[in-house]
Amino acid sequence: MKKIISIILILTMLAATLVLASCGKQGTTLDDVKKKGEIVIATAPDFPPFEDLSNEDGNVDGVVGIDIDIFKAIADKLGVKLVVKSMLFDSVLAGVTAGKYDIGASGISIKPDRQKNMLFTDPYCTASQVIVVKEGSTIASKADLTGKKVSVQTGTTGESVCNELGYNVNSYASNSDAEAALVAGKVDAWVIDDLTAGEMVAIYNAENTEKLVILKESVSSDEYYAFVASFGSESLVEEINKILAGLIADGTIEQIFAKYDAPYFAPEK
Amino acid sequence: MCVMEKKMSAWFEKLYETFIATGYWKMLPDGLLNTVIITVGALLMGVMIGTVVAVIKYFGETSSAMKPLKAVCDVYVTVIRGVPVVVQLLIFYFVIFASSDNGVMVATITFGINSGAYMAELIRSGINAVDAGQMEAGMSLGMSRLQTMKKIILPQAVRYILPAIGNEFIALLKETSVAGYVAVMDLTRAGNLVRNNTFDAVNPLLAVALTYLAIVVLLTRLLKMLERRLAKSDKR
Repeated sequence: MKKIISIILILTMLAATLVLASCGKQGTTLDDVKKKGEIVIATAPDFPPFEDLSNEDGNVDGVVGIDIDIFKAIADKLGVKLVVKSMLFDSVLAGVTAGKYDIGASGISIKPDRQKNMLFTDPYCTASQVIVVKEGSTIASKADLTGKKVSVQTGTTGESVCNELGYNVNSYASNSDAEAALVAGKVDAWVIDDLTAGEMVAIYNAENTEKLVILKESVSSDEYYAFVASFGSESLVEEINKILAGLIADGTIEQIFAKYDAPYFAPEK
Repeated sequence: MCVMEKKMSAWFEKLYETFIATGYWKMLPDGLLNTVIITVGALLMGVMIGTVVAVIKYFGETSSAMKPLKAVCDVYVTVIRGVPVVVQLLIFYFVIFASSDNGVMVATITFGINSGAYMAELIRSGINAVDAGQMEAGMSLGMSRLQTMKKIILPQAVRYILPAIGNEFIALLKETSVAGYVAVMDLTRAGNLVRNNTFDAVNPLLAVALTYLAIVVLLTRLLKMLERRLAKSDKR
């Protein structure tokens, strides 16, 4: 009896500690960043052209890409150093909402249920979810996907869209695993954002005889990429919005996209 | 006291929001089912592989005909014990069973082979614990070594092996939590899914941790009862 009581007591204390610990300080203000002299962004570098692992010139902490270049410009305007932390995509959102990183910059789409849990900056790009299949596949349109197996990356809009549409979904923590699943034949299709699909399929087709094909019909569209921050970072987000508007207006954003041979779809306000 | 109450009611609200309002609570029993299937499947596979390997190793020590087989078994045990189980799982899923789309089956086989290596050592020490006189007695009755092993030694070794296998069962249950790496919807993965979709870190993780804990506590009690029952033969 004593043992049971002591076990229950320990469990309650454990639960209480976890609950209380979850209400910690959140949010980075503009002043925090200026005082630190650096801004820490979280990203998942398996998403070219927005972020990719590379040690070539212009890389910050081993990552290159559109998001990194945009943030280098923002950090310059803020007068602080840019620090990039790499991780898996679902950890980016979890880490930012928990206040571990100042900003999440990882091709993150604005979604209502995400907006309930974190702050979004203004959008800097539009995107859609496209379908990638193996050459010669019987799938030719979105309607053909019903009842088929689809691979997606965990925590992405592609995952939620596919779950909502009722497909048989295999979620992988990294994008390359989702691509590998399609190549290996474990799934019939891979759903991913359009610009990344373009990059990764081009890289794959250049090195393999069996090709991957991106279907013309997309699964969903009208997505906007923006940067995220945890609640409490309003002043930082406001400043970033101002800088972003300036970068869009003077064409810097378009130039960055052009550098990576990516088509730039400006978000219409 | 007011702050505690506010925090507690805020927590209950969040708990309701995360699990019940969204209907995500259903993912946990689904995940638990897969976890149990993989664990039990891997355990049975492990026991079968482990017994065969242990017997081969036992006979291989003395008989020269068995030496090559024993060498194979030694390599198997060394390699499996030397590579982390996550890496083994990824190798099985992406390389060996590359074209398979049944993650649960691949995970069960991987954990079964992994567990077999550890169980082989357990079973071998159980066999060694049985009095050497038993083997001599069996052979003096005209039974072959293999017959003696099957009918006399293994049944007695079970007494020593069962508690260790029970421990391995408990360890296996928690090891399977990495199956999420290969798109298997086990309990941990279900918890992560809820966590990703609701952005609530505390409740899903707490629920998953408590579920594992409850099962392990239950298994431990059953194990204790089993050990007591087996030890009865000692207190004649």
